[in-house]
Amino acid sequence: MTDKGHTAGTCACKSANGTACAPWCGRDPMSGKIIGVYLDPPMAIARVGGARHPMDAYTWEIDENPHRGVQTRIVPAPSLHPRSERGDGHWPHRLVVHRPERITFKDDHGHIKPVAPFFELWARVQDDTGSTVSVPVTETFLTARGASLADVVFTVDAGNRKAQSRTKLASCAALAHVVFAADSYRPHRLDAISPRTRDQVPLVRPDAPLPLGSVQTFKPNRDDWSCQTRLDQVRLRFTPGKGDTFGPPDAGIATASPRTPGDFEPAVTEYGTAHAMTRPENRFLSPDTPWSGFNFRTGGTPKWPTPQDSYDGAREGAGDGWGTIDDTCDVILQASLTIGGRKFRAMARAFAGPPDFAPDRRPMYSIRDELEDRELPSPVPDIDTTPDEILDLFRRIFETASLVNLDQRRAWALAGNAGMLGGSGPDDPDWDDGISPRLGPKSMRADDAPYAQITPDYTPGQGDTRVPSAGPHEALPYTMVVQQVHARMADSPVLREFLARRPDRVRQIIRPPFGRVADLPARVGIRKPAEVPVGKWDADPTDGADPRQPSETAPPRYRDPRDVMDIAYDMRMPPFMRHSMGVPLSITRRQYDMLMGYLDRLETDPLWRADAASGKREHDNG
Amino acid sequence: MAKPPEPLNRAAILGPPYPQPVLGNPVSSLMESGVGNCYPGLEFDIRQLDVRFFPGLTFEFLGLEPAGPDGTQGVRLVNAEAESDPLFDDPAPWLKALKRQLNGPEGGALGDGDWYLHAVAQHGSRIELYDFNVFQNAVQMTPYEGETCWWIIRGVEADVDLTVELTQRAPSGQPLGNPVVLHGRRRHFLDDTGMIPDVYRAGELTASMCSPWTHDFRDCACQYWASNHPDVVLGEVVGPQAEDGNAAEDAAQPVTFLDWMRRRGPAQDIAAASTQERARPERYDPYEINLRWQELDFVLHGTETDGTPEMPPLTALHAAYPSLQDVITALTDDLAPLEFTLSMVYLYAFFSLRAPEDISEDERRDWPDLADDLRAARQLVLSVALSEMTHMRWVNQVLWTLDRAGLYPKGKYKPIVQPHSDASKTAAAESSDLEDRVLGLRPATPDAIADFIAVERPANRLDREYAGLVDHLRANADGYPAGLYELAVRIDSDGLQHYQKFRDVKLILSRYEHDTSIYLRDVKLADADDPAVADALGLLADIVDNTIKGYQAERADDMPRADACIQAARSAMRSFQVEAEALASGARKPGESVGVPFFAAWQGHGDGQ
Repeated sequence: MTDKGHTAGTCACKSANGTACAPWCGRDPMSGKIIGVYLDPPMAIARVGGARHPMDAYTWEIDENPHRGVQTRIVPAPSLHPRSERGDGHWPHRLVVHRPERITFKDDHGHIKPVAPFFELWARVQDDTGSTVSVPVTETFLTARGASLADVVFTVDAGNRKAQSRTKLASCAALAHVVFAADSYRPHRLDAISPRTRDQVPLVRPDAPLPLGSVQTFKPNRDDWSCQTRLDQVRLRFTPGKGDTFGPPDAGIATASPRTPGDFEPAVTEYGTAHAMTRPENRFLSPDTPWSGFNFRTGGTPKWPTPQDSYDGAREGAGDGWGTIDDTCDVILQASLTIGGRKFRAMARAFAGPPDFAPDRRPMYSIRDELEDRELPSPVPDIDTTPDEILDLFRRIFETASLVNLDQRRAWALAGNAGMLGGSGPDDPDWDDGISPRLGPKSMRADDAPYAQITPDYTPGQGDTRVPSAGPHEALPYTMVVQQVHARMADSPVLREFLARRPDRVRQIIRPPFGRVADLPARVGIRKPAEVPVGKWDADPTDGADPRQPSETAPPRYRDPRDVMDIAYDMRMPPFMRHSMGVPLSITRRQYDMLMGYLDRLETDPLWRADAASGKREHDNG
Repeated sequence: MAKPPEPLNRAAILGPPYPQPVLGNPVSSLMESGVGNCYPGLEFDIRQLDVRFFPGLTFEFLGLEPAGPDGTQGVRLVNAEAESDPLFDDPAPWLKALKRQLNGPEGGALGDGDWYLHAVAQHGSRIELYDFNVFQNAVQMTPYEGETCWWIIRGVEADVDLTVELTQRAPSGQPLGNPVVLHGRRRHFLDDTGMIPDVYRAGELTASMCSPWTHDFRDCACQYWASNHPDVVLGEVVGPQAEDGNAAEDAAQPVTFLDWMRRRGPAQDIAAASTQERARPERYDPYEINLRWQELDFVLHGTETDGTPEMPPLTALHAAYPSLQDVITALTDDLAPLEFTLSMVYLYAFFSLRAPEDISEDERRDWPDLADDLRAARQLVLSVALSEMTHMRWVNQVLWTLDRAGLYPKGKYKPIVQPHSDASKTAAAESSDLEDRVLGLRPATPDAIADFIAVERPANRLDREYAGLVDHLRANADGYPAGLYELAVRIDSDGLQHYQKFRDVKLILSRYEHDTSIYLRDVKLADADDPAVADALGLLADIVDNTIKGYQAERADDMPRADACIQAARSAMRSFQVEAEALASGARKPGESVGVPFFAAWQGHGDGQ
């Protein structure tokens, strides 16, 4: 028996050049032993939205239009639409492939389409030769092993613990738990309630649960079968909440602080404009829990999580919270498959976050970067991969930088420096005299040499001021420059030539990441953190490499989070942006080490420069 | 499994691949689309991983609130037990040993009272989580706040032996007694399948985020999520903007920034502000954002939109160059000199604009915006002039790349840093030919700016020439180094901003057109032998000479020398800028505004001599 009769010999399982288009093609589902199951993707981000139908699929692609430059764009991708078996929109649904001509982000009512990710269930199967292959879990696959869709059981836990994390009470959490088999096709609502002990008041009562979204499986669809569209595969879809705010009955209308973000309304307040903060139908949370009226100042004691003023109500008056939460959450999805008395378990995670409002602009410091920085060993320069990884990094830097208001960032950060370091005033151009890089209004100006080089040239007439002289046209002079410069760095020949010609400049202008434990002195200020090992990845001179040229600049040092000068904002890249825990942003240690290694190679290895110059891989590095 | 991506045009662009989601998912579901720096984050708070960085222990990173430190700040132990941590099912010897500790005296001690993380040690480096002062030779320890401690913990490596020490504290924050010392390793934050392990319960990874999420989305002072949450977007282009310069579908790139978080409503959009204080009144209020966040626009290519644009095939604006020789001839004889010429022409126009500091008090009273208008106009003109120099460099880079690849006539390569053969000493201002007018040195009169706009207009000659280069490289991709195509696309696309920038200059200065003396200097082009401009011409010669040497060094792969020459050229450029500004402002010849004859060194080269 084969999977719906499709074998490696059928065209459905062959790509144009005659090779099997998926590793599992032609596998007989009868044979092979299951050694595990998994969900793909292992983690996915869902994004809230009020529209009824989710966002279609799209992918990133290089736009090579001479009128837009070489940069990332999004293009529509094959999407999966649920089609009602009954034809009336009611469950059960089968998935069909839809190929949108264009991606629209909102529906006709102006509601944002949510991102509702699918998770595919796969099995790892081993044959008698010992080789393993990943195979889609389908009804046919299960039947061949004496099981059925009913033997695949999903357990989904979703939680919003935002109020709990502040009050330290589980009775302020909102938790949903559903269990269902893969042949239960109705949408399973993730209605969350608060756990409690006998004397506790639950924030979310069982009779008025918090809707954290839903999960759903789909009837197998054996039409349009191909390697790329296994619609008979078991899939689970998580649809997040709408992004609404919920509160107790009194969380209706409030006056908003007119102050800037991060600033507080004084206790004696003039208040601001009144706004509704919740819809009337969403005011069903219990009013008599510690979350209503929670105040981060209570007790005058340090608290976690930080920042502590991160709830509605924190900025006005005394800072009492309105008791609001939202319908975002993070979710653990578990699939268990029981065959022959043995249980296989697969898990995945989903996070419900805000929409990605600029989907063709990627973060230069993504969640993946952060996780890789924690989990992977330091990168080793590889001529086949490193240039591309560095180019991708600089493309992402441009993509992020293209939407940053650098003028605002700079003005904000320099004011903070003066406050933190005892400057005579944020707008005194000389309060940081003698400090390099500059931390006051001369940051990014000519006096900030050698760090500032291009920006002063591009911004004539801008004095040594913290706030740019922008005038009625508000031209955002620094913002304009950063876009212009980084658009060019997003191109491989320009970037590589620059890195090859000015390695010391790059080492100087990139803000080093914080040191690891082993890089830091026992106590701050006694010794400096470790130097960046410039030259660590130099090519071997016996292989025809260039000798390292003596440098006029000292190697950079990793930063020390305990040293106040290492948490002051200066123009080193990325300039004036904020990192985790409210300190100046750097790229990850892994990104940084990769870049430093690339510079070593470019500086000493003619092969790497030849590659940079030609864009060709003419050498043979095995 | 996710399928590896196939490049759109492998022959044209060798570049990094993009990650691909599974069927049906948009890329915005990928971890690559989420922002990794968190305070507290958008999709989830990655700092929560460190709450359980050491197996069996749960911590919280206590940060200060306005009352200040009270001795409890830092890393406080919330829980110590091995039973609820699935990691201890792993038979690794170090986990067995750690479990014995947690179930033994050390764990027993931690079950009573408040305990704080005192120190961590790895690779022989031991870091105490305390600042210190010395009083009368006694060391006074002050606990760091949670934020500082978190960064130290963030620097703990996986797969390396790790020692943690915990103590209780006196009310002052001083550590008390001997620490409890545990030996182990940092937890891995991804399991074998690529998932954050389930020791982190549902809801735990988002627990520290803002409540509701819209609170932070509007109210955070950070603005560090621009990839998902833009600070600024580009405003709508007004006027012709298509590839043929006449319709409204494509090409021109707007350069006016809007604040993305601005309140949508009936009023017309105003430009983005340069400080948060100025921007604040135009933005959504706290609470208001909770119900109106779906009004915010999606942004593609930096501009607000309701969806992906139609993607017509690339239009061939210019027949591709038929041969390599045609490419070389066009770049050498036409485009490189043209870029050099335009750069000088725009610089001349730049120096003809009055500097903001030239404005008298009376003028400030009469024209309150004049200084800011001049500052904005000068930045725009100068940025285009510098950009043209960069284009000249890129054209040269194309040439030396061809030479390195053996595609240039052997032994014939030389850098092109000189004006166009049609460049004239003085503008043929009355000529009916646009290029005749543009290739001469002229002050930034309204007519000159109109000509600058015209010559930079999409689909005009410059654009078409580069489009021809792009088409040639695309059609003959296999014959050229891959980077050349990308470089050609960059020159062409980069140039389109020039058009918009000059349109902005025209807009800014339009209110003074009735009397150009308000914004223009009465600059007079000096003769080549005028002693007043000798220094400026000397510096210009230095710029050209060092640039040529720099390009030659780059061609020879002598990067240190190349950089030295380019930096020397830049230094000369800065000196030249000071000198030319002094000449134009009348500082050299009192009462006279002197214009530098940029093309003097090439007298006889152009048709103006």
